[in-house]
Amino acid sequence: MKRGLISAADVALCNQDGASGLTNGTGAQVFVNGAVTVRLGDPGTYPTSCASSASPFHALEGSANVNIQGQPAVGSRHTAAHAHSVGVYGPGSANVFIGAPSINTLVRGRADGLALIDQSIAPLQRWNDADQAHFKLWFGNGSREQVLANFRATRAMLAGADIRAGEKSLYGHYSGGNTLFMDNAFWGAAPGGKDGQAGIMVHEAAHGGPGATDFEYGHDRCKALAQNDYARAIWNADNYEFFAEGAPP
Amino acid sequence: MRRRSLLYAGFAVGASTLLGGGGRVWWSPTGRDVPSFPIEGRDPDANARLQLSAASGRWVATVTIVATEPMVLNRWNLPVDGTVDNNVLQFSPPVRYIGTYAKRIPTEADLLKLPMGETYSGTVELGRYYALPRGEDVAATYLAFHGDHLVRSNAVQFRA
Repeated sequence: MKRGLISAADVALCNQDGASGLTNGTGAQVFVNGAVTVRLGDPGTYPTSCASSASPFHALEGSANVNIQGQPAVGSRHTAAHAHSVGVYGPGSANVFIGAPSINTLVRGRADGLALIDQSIAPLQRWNDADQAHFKLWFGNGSREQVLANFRATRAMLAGADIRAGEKSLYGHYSGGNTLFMDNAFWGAAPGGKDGQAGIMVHEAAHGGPGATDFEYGHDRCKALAQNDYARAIWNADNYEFFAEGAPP
Repeated sequence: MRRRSLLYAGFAVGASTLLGGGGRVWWSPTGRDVPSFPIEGRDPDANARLQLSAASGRWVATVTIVATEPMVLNRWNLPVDGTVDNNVLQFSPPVRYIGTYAKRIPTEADLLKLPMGETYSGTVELGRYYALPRGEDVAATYLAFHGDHLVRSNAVQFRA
């Protein structure tokens, strides 16, 4: 047994020899394949000879063998119980490294949502033929200036919002103030793409920022709204989400 | 253009309400004093009916839709079990909505099929969803999309 700090050389040694798992007396509360994970530089007691297979330092997303704070971790598309979001994702635990430091899904969703909005503002300013066609698709003959202002207000809302896990049987909801709720169905959505987590963030922030409402839902009905009633389309949250999710690069 | 249907045409004529203990009639579209509940306004172009009544000092809105042809109603735009999730009542002057907006990807379960001739009616307590300006006169109208229909009610004036 070796006592002291874990070094990169130790990791390399274990990777080379095949590790059965290192133990760390400091108890990071993260278990990989049944063994407590450790960080480089953590003090602890661990074997100098790593007996078998697989690196203990790399927990794959969605591994059933990863526990975070006592709860089994699951991947973003898993259908395991997501009560109160416990057991879904670690709350940004600094003790979990999966190729890189782990990130909370709500944090990632906010960042991805902000990126979507930035990708939406760009065509509204560039305004080439493809940009105009995309605008027409989701906002009809609506005011580009108003849509741009609404995207900016949406961005400000999302950047500063208190984003929490909700408990409704919805993707997300907004009930006033500075809080956006991501509800049960949110955790089963893809990180990006149509009706993805990033887009759901945009949708809810469109309520809280510019004050958009929900006249219609879904691609088909929102496209129809843009063509038949653009005055409402530019105040409909799904139209902002869908514009953002498909914004021209 | 979005198709509009005359879904309801048989609602009552204007009415009025009494204020406090004084019994003052403050609104009467017919010019007659009709001190009775519920109250509603007249709008021949409306395809839904909105009535307001007072229960235990709280305003309760009743939305009624009668299908003059088969309809598909969006549950999220209806008062259901005393609740409503979307801001489906429009006020003049504007009143702040304090209820919930939700992200949905609608499924069949979210749709309510209303055969021709049948009626949907739901109620909701206004104060739970709107920051009503106490003592001020406002007018409320139900307005929501249901399938291909933009459903709009008569306007009802009342003192909050």
